[in-house]
Amino acid sequence: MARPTQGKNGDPALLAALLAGENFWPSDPASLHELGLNEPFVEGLICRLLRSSGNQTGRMIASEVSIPFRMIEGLMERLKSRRMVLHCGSASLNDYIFGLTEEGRRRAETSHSECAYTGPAPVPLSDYVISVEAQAICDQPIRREELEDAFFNVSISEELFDMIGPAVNSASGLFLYGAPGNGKSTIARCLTHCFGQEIWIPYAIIDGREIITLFDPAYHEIVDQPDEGLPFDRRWVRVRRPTVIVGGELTLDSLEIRHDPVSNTSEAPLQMKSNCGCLLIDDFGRQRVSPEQLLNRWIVPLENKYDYLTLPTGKKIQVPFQQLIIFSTNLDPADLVDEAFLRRIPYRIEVTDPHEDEVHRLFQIASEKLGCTYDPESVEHLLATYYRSHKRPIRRCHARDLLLQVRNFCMYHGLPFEMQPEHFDHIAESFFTRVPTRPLNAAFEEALTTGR
Amino acid sequence: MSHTEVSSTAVLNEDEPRNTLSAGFTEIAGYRMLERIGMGGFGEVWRAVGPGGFPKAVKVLFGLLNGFQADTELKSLNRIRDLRHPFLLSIERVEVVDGRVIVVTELADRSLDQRFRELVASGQRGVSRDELLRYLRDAADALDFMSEEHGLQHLDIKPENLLLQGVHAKVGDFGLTKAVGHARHSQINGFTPLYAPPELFEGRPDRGSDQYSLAIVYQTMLTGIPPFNGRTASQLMAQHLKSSPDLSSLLPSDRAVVARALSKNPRTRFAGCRQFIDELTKRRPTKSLSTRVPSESVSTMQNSRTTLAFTENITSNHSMVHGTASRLAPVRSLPEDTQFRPTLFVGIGGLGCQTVSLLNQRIQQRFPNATLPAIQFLCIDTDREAMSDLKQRSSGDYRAVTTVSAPLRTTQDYRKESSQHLTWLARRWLFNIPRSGRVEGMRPLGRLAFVDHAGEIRIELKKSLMTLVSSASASISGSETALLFDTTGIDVCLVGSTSGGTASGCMLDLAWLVRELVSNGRMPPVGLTSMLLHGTAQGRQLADMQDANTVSFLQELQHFSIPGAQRPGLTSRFSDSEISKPFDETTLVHFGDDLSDHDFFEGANRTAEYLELRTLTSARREMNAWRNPERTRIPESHEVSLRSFGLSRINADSWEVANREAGQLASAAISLWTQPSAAAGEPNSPEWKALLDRLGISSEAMTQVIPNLLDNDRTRRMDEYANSVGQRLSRDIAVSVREQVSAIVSQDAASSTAGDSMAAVTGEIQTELAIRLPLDLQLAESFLRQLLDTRIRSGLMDNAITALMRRTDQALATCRSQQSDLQSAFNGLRASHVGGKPDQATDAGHTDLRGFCRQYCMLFTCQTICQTLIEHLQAILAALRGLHEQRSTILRDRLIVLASQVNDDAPCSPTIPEQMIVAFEAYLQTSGRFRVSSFLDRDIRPADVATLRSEASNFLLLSMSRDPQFADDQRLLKRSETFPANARPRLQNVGGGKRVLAVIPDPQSAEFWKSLLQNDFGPCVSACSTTTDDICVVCETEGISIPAAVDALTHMRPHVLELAGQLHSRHDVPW
Repeated sequence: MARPTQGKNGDPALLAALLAGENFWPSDPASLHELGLNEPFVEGLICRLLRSSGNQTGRMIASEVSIPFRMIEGLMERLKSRRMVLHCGSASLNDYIFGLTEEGRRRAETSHSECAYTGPAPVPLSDYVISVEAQAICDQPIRREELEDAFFNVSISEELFDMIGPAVNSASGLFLYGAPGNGKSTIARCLTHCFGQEIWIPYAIIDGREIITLFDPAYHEIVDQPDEGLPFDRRWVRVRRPTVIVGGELTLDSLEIRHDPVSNTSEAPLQMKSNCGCLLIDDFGRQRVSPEQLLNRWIVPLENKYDYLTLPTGKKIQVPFQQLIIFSTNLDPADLVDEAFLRRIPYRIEVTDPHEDEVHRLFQIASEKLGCTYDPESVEHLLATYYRSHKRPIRRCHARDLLLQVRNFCMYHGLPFEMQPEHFDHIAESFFTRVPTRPLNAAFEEALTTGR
Repeated sequence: MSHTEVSSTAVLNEDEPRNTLSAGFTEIAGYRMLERIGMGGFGEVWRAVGPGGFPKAVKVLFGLLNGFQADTELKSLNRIRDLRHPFLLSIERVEVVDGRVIVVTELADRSLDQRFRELVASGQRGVSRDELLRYLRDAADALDFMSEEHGLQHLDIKPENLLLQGVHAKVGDFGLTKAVGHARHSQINGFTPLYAPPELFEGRPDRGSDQYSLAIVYQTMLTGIPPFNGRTASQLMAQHLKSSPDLSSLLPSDRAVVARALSKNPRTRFAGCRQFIDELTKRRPTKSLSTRVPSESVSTMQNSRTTLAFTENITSNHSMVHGTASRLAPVRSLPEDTQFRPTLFVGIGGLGCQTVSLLNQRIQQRFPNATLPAIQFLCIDTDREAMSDLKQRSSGDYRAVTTVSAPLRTTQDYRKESSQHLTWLARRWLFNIPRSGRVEGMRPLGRLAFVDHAGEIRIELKKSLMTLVSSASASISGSETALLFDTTGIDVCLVGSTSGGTASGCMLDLAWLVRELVSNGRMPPVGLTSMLLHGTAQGRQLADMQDANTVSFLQELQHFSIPGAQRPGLTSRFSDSEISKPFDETTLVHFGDDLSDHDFFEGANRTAEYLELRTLTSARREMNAWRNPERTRIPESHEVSLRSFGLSRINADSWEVANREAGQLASAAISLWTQPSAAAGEPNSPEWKALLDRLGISSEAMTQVIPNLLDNDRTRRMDEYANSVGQRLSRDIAVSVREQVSAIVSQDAASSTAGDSMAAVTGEIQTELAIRLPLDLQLAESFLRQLLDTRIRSGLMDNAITALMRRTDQALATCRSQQSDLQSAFNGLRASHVGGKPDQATDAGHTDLRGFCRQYCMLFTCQTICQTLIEHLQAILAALRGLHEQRSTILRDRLIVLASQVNDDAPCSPTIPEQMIVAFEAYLQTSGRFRVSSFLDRDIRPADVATLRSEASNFLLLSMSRDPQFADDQRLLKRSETFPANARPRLQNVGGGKRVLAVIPDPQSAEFWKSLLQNDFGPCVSACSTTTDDICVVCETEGISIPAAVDALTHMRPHVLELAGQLHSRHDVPW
């Protein structure tokens, strides 16, 4: 387009974003048609909103339903001429306070019984699909430096780095196994950071008349939205790439669309919420579902990069399955699943216990984090007294956990927080007594690590 | 505001011959000019040899052009004269010679700007941090000294004004120094917008103003990237006032410091420049960063020039790295080359289609009702609406234009075949196709649209080409138009805007498609030319994008022109193409920057006109000759060279009328000027009042003049002296005190050795007045010049001189009456003490005596001062009389000569209405090319006659073509350079050679036009005649290298290069 009037009808925000390296930009819609929603639907949404939250100004309605005010303005006029709403007063900037009429209230009731959803207007499923494909992880192969940046405050051996990198770039499945307390969950969490960039997700998705809510504050951390100068579609929200972690509580149900028969709305399954990010299945093998069942559920999506979900109406929809899926377990993968499954999860990485040199480094990192000076002699004392002599395996989490106990000890006794051999001696008794009950204890420690 | 006009024209027409100095010239006695070392909006700087062989820098202001600047400079020099600081460039002499202010200063090794360029040329990003901070610390010292001790701000801090001597820097060029808080004049003239702080645009300089400029100097010299990247003065102004600076090129540790110095609010900046530099020094970067940059960006920085002339584009005036186009000798055309070639014009994108349909209209008008199958038009655009508009129109009156609408589909549509597109198209483009279905200026999407619609385009293109090559079409067209069409070859011309997305994205692919169709269809050889249109719209972001699009296209063009370059085509069909260059000829037309829709239309119209001349008129023969390698002896090379052109047209009749009447208008105007002015009375302007104050002849100044001369310091010295006289008086002698006093006074006056004597004070005042006299006269004269230049009528100047003399007379009278008052006071004093009371020995008597002494001394001094003042005023009066006689008579005589010369051939002028003359005067003022004041000093030259005539004819042409109110529209006036100067291509300073062709209706006048145009363009002019009513001047440059064009487009804006890198049409080619 070489039109001189380019500036007037182009979308400078879109352009600016694309030139700044964005892979996807929800451009500001110019008409209801561009929203991909029909007018009766938006009317119903507005009526329900007015029913549930009382009288509102046009601008408040616009921000509640995330539709530009210029569209709401015309809509409200049409609703008013059809005697659905009335002006209850005037508001600033050529705006009014709207309230429902009797007629409108009836309409709202009907609409509510069909679907009770109020909130940001949904985006069509097809738009969502495009957004996921545009922002998929596999589009951005990471390099060693980026991986090192993501793991800057974690001690990782060189070999591990070289194993993790290609696995991440494959953007398929990844098994992390090894003894508990060695930081499998930490690795998983750091991995998502190396795709540091943020993504756009819609608050809700619509297919036909079915609304699926996607945005979940538990997993989606909202980041800075773009400047005022760059208009965008407010139905989308910019979040950090999600890392969804599920542990033993995972059931097969949470991997399907969950329908609430009362409100007639649906909630997206976990794998949809973690699209463009990372899904970590922690403590794999400890779920109530058998590992086989769980893995069976993943076979098709892992193979095709698509998942098929069933709407409450019975309709099957195809949604992208674009994420890094990590199974973390302290059991041997070979014991859990057979070869057919392992073939689908090509990367299996063992996280081993640290060497003694590494222990020093771990203590160094932990002491920096907790705020005390690192003292190599105390660590040496610790190693000599409690590990080597007892042939006790040392875990990566020990450095931090021991130091935490030292801090608590010092605080309690009113001592300055320092690394001292005698402090370690004081806490060692309680820290190491649980060693014999290994299997139970290991799980407990693991839970401690992941909870943090 | 005539003075802004001056500074802009002064810098812009750098390749114009100008009234400048030449080497070896002696401007001031004792100084010999060696070479010009700098030039700016205000004047030029020369290296000179002073008395004793010492090297000096001599700054010559363009005082001739306008008295105002000289005035400003004198004022600022007066302020700076008292300042002494090791890091201020010391001023050694100030003179006014021939109305030009000349300032002699010490000579520095070089400026910071020069140092920066040296480093950039050697591959550095800029000046290293340590070195730069050392210089800036010196500058900060000097600036803080000026600000803290004297309340002065420099207000024009820029790299050119920081002069290096050894390891130190000195602040020079006090062009604008202004006492803070006394900003009366509008500050908009003469400072450098790139470095100007926001408050300066509002005319309110502040303590922190220099710090702001210094911060910009820091970033620019360190990184080569200024914090504000506006391209015109108005954009820069808006950025300084509103936008936040772009500090991304700085180290993170520096950013906060520079950001604070660049606060919009001067109060939130650092307390002083030194503090700012201290903060920077504290944040020494821990690891030294390499300052080397890739060679690509070095070349863009080489021509970094930091001075911008106000009001105009930067692109048109940056330093001449690639130089102006050389003038190529005319080439004789081949007489046998009379055939026209069947031609297909393909318009791509909005602007390309517009151009092609305008061309179609022109041909339609020229051959109404004729069918011309040998000229085919094809329009391709992604904008469905624009295409259907065009289709509707072409179905009516217009000759059939074939249209192909190539809108983009939605992302959903492309998803199914995404794997195919993603091999060459980045994901972010494919997944963000605008909902409008238009390309919106994104090149990769332009290519996607082409790939998507390649089938349709291919069919239409093939159809058009087949029509073109059929032998019937040549013969039909020939019989309809009486033009002879060649059947041995065809031409295809692709027209599109590279600053947009559609054309820029697909023109190269289209070229190969044409070549493939021609070779597959066994058609006659094709001459494939491309017309790349470039222009930027209003709005900086958009403009950067448009520049980047063109740059990106040019880079791709260059890549494909390298033999053996990787060239993945649409399919493998293209790869067997033998020809390495996509186009046989490429013309890049720069429409300009900051364009409105109308400007784009004008540009398209000019291009259409050029294409018509090139294709279907006898001018073709001449232009063919320019392209004939044997005749021009230009060696073939693999490097793609671009052409560019400019075109100026004027109606032959109106030109003739204007030219005929110009002389009459000019002579009528002059005769009006030479008449005594009807409007009596004094001028009433602030400058007039200031002049009266300065000369000390306004009524307010008269009461102040003696107290001013007798300032605190002198009064104190007088008091001390009176005391000492009082002490010396003997107490016991009963002779009259008066006699004693006068004896002592006369004795002191005679000896005048003692520093505290009264004579020293009066002597000082006398000297001061004597020094002031020439300065005052200069001031008066510069005022008169300014009056002449702004009001033009010399009668007004006469009035002003008379008024000045009257004022001086009045002042003299006042002085005389004061003198007599003083005399009577003196007499009274004398009378009261003549009796000489005997009881003087007492203390009271002694105090009384001292009081008497004081009064006596004071009165005596006042009397002397009064006398001196009277002499001073008399001298001024005499000088003014001389000036009046000399100037007004001489000027009148000269103007009469001019009037007769300018209208020598016309018999008798019809009466020209005075309104018209007034409008003409207004035009002269705004254009600023003709100045009456220059005749104060010199005789009429033939050039003056020519200038006045051409100004008059320009004025007449303008008034014929425009609204009579054009005089009010200054912007329009400034924009429209006049015929034939506006035939210069906008793409300037990119090297190459130029040729000029005048297309005229009457072959008889060819020689006349050639010689006329040679004045403007040099000896590269040729002429040919066609059957038009208009005179058309085409100026073509050739041999422009792509790097030069890229430099011109990305000058001082490296981020455009970066953008261009992101805008390549495909990502599977290593551009």
